[in-house]
Amino acid sequence: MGRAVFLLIAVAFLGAFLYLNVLPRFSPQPRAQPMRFSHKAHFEESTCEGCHVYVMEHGAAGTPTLENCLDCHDGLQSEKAEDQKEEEKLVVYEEEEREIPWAPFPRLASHVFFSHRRHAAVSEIECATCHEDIAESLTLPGNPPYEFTMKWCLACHEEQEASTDCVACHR
Amino acid sequence: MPRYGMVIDLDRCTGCQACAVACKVENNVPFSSPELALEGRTIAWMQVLPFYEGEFPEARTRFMPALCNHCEIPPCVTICPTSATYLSEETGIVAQIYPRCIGCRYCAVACPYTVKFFNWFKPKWPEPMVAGLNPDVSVRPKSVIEKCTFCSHRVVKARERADGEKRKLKDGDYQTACQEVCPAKAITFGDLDDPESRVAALSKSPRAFRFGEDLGTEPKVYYLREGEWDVERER
Amino acid sequence: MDITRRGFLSVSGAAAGLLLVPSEIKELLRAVADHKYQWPGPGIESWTNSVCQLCPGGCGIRVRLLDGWPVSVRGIPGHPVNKGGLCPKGEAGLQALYDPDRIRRPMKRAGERGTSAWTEISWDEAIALVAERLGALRAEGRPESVAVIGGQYRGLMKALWQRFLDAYGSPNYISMAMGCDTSDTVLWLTQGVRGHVGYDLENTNYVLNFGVSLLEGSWSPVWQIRCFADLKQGRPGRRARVVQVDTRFSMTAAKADEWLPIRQGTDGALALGIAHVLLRDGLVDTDFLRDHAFGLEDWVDGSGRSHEGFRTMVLRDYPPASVAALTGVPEQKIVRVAREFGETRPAIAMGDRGVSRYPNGLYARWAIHCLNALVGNLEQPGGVLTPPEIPFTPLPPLPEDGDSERGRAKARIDGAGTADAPLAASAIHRVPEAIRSGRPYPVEAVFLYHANPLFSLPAALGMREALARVPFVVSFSPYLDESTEAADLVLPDHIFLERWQDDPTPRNIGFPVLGIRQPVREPLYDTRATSEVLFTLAKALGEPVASALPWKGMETFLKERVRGVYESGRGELAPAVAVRGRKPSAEEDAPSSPPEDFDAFWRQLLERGAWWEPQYRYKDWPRTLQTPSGRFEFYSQNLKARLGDLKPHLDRTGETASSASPGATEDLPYLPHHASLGKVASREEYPLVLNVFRPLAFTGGSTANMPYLIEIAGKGVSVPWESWVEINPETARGMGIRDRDRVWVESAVGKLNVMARLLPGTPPEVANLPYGFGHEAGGRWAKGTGANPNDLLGATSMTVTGASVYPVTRVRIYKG
Repeated sequence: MGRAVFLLIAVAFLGAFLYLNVLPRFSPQPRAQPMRFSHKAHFEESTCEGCHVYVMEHGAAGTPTLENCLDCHDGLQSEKAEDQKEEEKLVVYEEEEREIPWAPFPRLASHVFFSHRRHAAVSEIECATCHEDIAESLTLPGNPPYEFTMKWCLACHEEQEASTDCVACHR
Repeated sequence: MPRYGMVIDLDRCTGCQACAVACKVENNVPFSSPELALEGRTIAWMQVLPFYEGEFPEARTRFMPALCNHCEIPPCVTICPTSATYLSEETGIVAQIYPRCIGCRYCAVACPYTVKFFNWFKPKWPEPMVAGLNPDVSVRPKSVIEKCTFCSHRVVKARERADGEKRKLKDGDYQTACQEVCPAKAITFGDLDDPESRVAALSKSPRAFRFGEDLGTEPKVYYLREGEWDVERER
Repeated sequence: MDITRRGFLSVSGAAAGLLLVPSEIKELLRAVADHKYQWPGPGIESWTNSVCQLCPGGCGIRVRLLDGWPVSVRGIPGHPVNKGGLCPKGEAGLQALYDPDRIRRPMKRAGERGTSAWTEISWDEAIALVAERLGALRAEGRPESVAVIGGQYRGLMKALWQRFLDAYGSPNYISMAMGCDTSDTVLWLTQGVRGHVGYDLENTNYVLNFGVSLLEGSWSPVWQIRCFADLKQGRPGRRARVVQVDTRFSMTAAKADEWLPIRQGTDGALALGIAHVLLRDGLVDTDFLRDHAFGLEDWVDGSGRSHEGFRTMVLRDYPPASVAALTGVPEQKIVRVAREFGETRPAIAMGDRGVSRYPNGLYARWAIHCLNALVGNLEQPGGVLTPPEIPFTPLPPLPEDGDSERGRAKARIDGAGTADAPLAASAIHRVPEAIRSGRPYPVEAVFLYHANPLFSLPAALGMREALARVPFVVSFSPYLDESTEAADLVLPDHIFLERWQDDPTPRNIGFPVLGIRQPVREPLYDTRATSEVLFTLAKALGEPVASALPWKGMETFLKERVRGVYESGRGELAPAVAVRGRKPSAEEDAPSSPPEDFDAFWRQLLERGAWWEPQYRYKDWPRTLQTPSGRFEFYSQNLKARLGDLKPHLDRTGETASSASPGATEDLPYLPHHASLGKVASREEYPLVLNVFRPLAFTGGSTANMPYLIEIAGKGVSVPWESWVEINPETARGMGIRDRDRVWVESAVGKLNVMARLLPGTPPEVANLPYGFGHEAGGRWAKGTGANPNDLLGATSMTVTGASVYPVTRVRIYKG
């Protein structure tokens, strides 16, 4: 009996230790983005493919390069001082001749394959269908803003009579 | 629904093995080592097998590219306990879904063509070779079975392209890596059910035969015999 | 992180519950299952065209890049050489780029020679070191003491090296070729043309092939394989016949319609036996011979002396019965094949370094070429062609300089062009002795470019010891191979995917074709193209070298040369073929309009991959018959003139001639005949003849660092990652050897340990060994895999020409 209680306490301690010390290490850390980027402000001036320039042509949508940004940002255009402070970072990158260090999110599992071109250009699906209201956001997310599951993908594929063959996405 | 199949002209084939290497490059198949090779653990989805006949000076050697036959009645699918391998209704491809595979190797035993390979080892690509891996295909983990997929990632791409151009998939849009590289143009690939396709015409050639026809597995890989033939419909 | 099935399962199993557990646990599972080889995301795809350089085949390649990283190599569909196909080497090409053991920056020797201890240095320092050495030697008035040893590579790079040496003042550009350019010599002897022999394989009906390894090691494998397949199944209702004369039951022999096994070094006799039947039975093209041949019949020269012609000699010396006894090919087969060859139009008789690798190679190769003339298959559709030269802009004249002229007028260290090697461009086998003896003068510096003599030359020559005596050895190799390990300084070149280079008509191909190799991405490491190094070095050396090589870089240099091609108005660009996998570019979409200026031409050339000249002018006799007689010379006046003042040399070969033909006259040296093979070890001591062959997977010694290729090299005989020796099963039984035994193969000069493969197609008296394995250096995969047959070989001079060839080598095989 005493032994059982001892074991129980030991397990509880171990559990508590794991919960308090080990597990938090795996807590998803928000990624530091190089600047406070407002999708909303940009979406008012441009379209999705204006900055994600490869979305209609390639599997990857692409994150904007400094060159893409400077195509529009010719000098400081923001009105508010706090926005100008962000915009000035572009000037600094240009002076230092380095790319914008965007922190992209880990992509899909390595056996899952996805093509933006297939969905956005060929099947003409609105970006918001999957990316929800990202166009309304005022800052860049530090964590993935939504979770894609196979069930969720399949629901749409079935509804649209797209391929539900395993090899369409898994190889 | 298309039913993809392959015809290999053994008269054109010169046994150069470009197909074997192209397959490895395309599908991230790891290279083995002297030790693993001795144990028979080299993975080769496509390999050119030599067959020796006769004695000097009347000897013959024949070369036969061997790959998954993508049977219509595949023994490996029947036996798989987890549906990791299945016959795709959309393409006729016998596909392999790695995360479902539990590594029991029943299918490798069931396959009469011995074209299913087990990952006995963790693939090793020293830096910077990793940069050269094909990002259209996953790298398989240890302990799963893999095999020829008829480059199924390419059918997805071909469909994407055809749909983008608002047209139907046509013969030749979807090519496998081995077919594309073959210097002798010995490999033809396409929809066996499409009466217009070259592969369908060739598969009905009097030169055509299939591996282990009597097994009742209905393979979709056809071979054309060597020798002096003149078949009108092959012209 | 180890990735296991269990890891995957745990993720799959937990997937359903994922939404219920805290995000920390999801992350934990992800960390367990996460794949080491995970892509950063779908990539941005692009394609760049270039030319493969893993062999001299000249195949157009398009390289697929993801986010700027090459991920696959494919053939260019419209390219006239390979039409979209590739061989296993080209396909595995990225393993040359991504070899983890590549040299990453210049290195200076840090310890004893050959210990492979290195200090990394900067390019400036490296070039300064070379410039200092070269400058000092030139100041001492000894520029000729610098030698460049060049391997098998392509295009104008050789002209650049030559020009560099000319301007600097050394005659010593030495090629590693062993009997490789005999076909060129024969073309000069018989047709007076300096160039390569081409074959119209696409259109022929009969191929009588003397040992050309069409499906394995020969010059342009993909083109040859494609033609070979088309000969069988590519032309409806018309199937060519291929007869392979070969000492080994090779891939080509296996796929040919008929294989004629033959004794080593007797191909010339067989060709002459066939010529005998053709002449005897009147199966010759009398019109061609009447109008365009010289020396077939007996003739009288200007001074009234009568000379023996080819017909008299062949009819007297080579009746099929005695040829059968000499070659081992049955008499009735000789007669039948001769009749087939004589009666089929068009037909091709081909031969190359397989027959000319032995001391009697010149005459053997010459005899084969004469068969084409006899039946009138020269300059005909489906026959033997002489591809015109590519109209490059010529190089500007060299600046005049007394020191340079004096230096390059000195005798070469290999004796090429002197009485020792009168018809050879290079004679590499004489180099070790020249270095050892210091004659004609000491060698102070050796540059190794695309050359690995410590692996590729017969070990018995002693190149290792010789190189150790040279005070300054520089290697330009991208890999740390045997010879590079023995160097003082390494200036690593790019690999072919990282540099500019031209790629002109490969040998054997009948039409002129030019590909441009362009970098497909930035170099991976701090390496530098040797062309660029030469330009920099020239500047550092000052005049006259600097103004001899004034170009800014290889791209500028190439554009200047290619401008001549554009301005000639000849030829056309390779057809644009819509490529699956990407949109055609605007220029590809509008292929029909010819480029409006040179810049457009250059852009389209890079885009399409090749320029070529498909329309061949057949029977252009003034261009293709430039001998003194203006005819095809069975009796070579060029040779006679060349050797006229070199009598002493000829006397040494005189005995070989008389022993072969009892009725020999003094004219024999100028006629193709079966010459002696020189001294061969005794059959009692060494019962088997060694036959070294080249598997398709290896280009000589240079692709053994690519694991995909090592894996397939022995697949045809089911031997993985290993060298083997092929023996006839009956012979092996007599020696007590079973299949897959470890055996010693021993010649008079060395021995090596390999696996025995008992193959029923192997001739009873032959032992076949593959060439390419057996490196002592060159990276983790090349090193220590298999054995190098060069350990068994010697080297000698070819009769008359003095070029480097192998003697016939006999071996014994025993278990151990």
